[in-house]
Amino acid sequence: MLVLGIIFLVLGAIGTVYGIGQVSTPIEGTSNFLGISCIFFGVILLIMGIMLILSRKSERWRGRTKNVTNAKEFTLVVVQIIILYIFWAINPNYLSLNNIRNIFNSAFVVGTIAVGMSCLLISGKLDLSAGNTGMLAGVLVSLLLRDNLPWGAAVIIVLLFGAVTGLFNAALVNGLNFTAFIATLAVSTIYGGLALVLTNAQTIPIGNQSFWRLASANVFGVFPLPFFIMIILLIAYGILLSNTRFGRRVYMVGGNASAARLAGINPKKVTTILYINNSVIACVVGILVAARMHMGSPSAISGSDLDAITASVLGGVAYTGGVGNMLGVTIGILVLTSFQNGLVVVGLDSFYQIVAKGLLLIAALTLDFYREKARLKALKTGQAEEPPITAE
Amino acid sequence: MTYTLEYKNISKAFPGVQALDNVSFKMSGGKVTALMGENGAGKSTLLKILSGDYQPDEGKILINGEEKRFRSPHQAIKSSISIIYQERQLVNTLSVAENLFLEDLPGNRLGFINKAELRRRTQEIIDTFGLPIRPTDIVGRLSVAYQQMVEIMKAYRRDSNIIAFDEPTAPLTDKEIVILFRVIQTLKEKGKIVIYVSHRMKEIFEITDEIVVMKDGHYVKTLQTAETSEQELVRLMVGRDIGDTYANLNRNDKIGDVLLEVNNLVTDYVKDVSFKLRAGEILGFSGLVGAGRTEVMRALFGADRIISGEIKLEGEVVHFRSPRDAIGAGIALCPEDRKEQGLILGRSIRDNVSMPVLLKVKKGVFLDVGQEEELAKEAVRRYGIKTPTTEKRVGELSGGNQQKVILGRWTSDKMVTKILILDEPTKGIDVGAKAEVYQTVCDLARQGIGVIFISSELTEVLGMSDNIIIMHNGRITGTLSREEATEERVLELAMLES
Repeated sequence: MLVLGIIFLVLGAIGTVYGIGQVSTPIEGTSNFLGISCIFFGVILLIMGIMLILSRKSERWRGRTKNVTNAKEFTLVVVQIIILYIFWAINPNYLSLNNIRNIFNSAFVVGTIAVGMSCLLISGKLDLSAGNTGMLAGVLVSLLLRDNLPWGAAVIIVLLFGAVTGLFNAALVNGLNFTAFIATLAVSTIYGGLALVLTNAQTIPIGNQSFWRLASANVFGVFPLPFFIMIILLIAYGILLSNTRFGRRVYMVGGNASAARLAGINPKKVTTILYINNSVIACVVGILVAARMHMGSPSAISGSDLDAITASVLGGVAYTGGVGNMLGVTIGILVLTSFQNGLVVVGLDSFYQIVAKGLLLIAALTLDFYREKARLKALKTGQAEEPPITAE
Repeated sequence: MTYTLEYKNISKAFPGVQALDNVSFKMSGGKVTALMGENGAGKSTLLKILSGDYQPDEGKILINGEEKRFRSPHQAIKSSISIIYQERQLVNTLSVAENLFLEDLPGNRLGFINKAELRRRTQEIIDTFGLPIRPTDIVGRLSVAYQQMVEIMKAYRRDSNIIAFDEPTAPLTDKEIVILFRVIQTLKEKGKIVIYVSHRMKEIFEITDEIVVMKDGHYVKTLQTAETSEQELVRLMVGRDIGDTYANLNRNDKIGDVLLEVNNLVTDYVKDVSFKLRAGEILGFSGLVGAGRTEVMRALFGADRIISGEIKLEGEVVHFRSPRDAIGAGIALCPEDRKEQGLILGRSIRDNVSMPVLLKVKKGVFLDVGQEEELAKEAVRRYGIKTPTTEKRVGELSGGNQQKVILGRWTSDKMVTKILILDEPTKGIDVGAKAEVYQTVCDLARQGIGVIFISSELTEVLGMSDNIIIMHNGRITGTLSREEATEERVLELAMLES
């Protein structure tokens, strides 16, 4: 193992140095494919070499290496690296500062909705109406602004509308015992229709310039406000899920609702809060998208709820509930958006992009399935370091 | 002061059943009170009323003489009541610590959890119990026995004044049972009310002080454990003397040719297993939980990969790649977990019985419901399944009747079952129904079926089997004939350290 580690280390170092040399002295008219590949594989070999040597040296490092490679997010990081490499190799502009900004900016819609959605998924529910709720929120805000309401008031009214929507979803699911899938699908359909009724299938322009600033303002001069909101929400809900009592309840309800109930927790209360939360977040997204496009459109972000579910599941959230975390979701969002952006950058036809998105989900989950299977097998045959199965 | 808990004139009806009929009795602190009765006697309903899961139709619960009404489990917990349910109520995806403190995670006013405190307090409880698990272990990855101990620790942690155990020892091995009994002793000394529901006579006489006997939703009598006997208890529960169950069985005395021969079987879980099963023989498999008995059967049934070794069925080497192949060859398996793996609880008796033979009950391209009905009626008649109709959902039947439905499925006229594998067939079944299942198994053996009978209950294996194979740690450690076998010898082989 030690020898292997040293070989990796040396090869990696040579590759990296050679690659950097290639890239830094570009020859006119040729792509930098060779140099980029050398850097890419060189760095990977370097890391592998260091890890091998370290885990050889001490027990603690072996444990750490194992922890990293065993983490559910590991597969995803590998997928992300492969995506970055492929698109970068095809078109080096993919990793230009400008395009990275683009990726982050386009992550906003799916990423923000995924925050509320993943909480719901962890609690064992889901909300297919999030996209259309956000879309209708955009339409509503544009209608309110057309009637010359101050933008602050309009925003508050629309957020209230979001809370009511969440409460309505929760009433269907918790009160009438509808399956979440059906209940929210119905609400989604209703809202899709309502938006068409309200707008007559036209877009509604927004003239209020101070409202535009919601989307164009930069925080600290660099982050566009919507992107900043997404990051804040991801961090805040990450802490909420992993460090607070309410967060733990979300996992309990999703992991075993009956156990939670018999322990004195009210699962319906938990999911009701999450539904309201999700709809309000969807409305925030809808409002910001309207501000960015300077109009309310009856087709704006519908369907982004499915993308949010895709990102969450990619990020390791179990659609059966009880499992997942915001770190995974964040990486899931990154994988999904950088992949979509990459398809645009390499110039794939936009219809094929949708096909490719579905294939990505299948590929990532397949990879995960085999990893999980290998892990479980190791567990059963006692190769993994797991709690003892029989008493001392 | 002594705590008291009184059920007063409690009645509760479910559609079609009067689960409890005017039940009144009293329990007091510092004593362990057993709740006994056949399945369907109303024990679980009594506990669920206490836990706030069900509301009684009539009557009330008095705690220390004060009337209490629990409209939700939340309120019962607030009144210092903890129940350990037969179906473990754990969140498998969370850690031991989080499960212990489900509704009461230590933390500050803002709702942030104090993880160090959580770990420390959990470790204290684990140490009190003396278990080799860590607070951070994910519950779903623990063995079933440890999961049960987590469930028990959860109730212990709440330090409730009233603690009820519903069949707590079913998944436990002897080592954990010792721990559990020590804990119950401590609770008793602290003056708490301990309610103990179990079918296991030995435990009842070992741990309880008094016994409340229930029958068909009625309160029968409260007995002092020290002053009663197993016979009296069974007579009160069943309402008749069942005598010596095993001696009265009509056994098969004609054992035929070798049906099944397993030679040097190796899988991921078992090592070098060889045995023979003859027609009409009941071959018992004994051993501690986790000894590899179920795993041998899974390999036989084509459910686990076989690494080496051979299986001969009636002299011919067979290779089953799936349970389907095994069923086709005449092997039937009644799994240990009948609710999860054996039955489709939401479907009718008819659907459950005809399940493996649907191809044979066709009329053209459609199913022949008439023939299906015949099969189901035959099963109901032959095994005496207590049900008004074959349309009844299997989930609504009692445990004993569910087991009979499975037996009916594998022994219907359309099946050619040569070998019947029964994995813990009497688990969770009451005394009366057990005797019926035993006789049924003997009847099947008399028809020339080779029966493999796996059970963790020693007396049962000894009473039923013609030959007993004992396993430990994935290996066969001994084979005893009916004449040679005694409880001591079987236990010795089962605990053998190889």
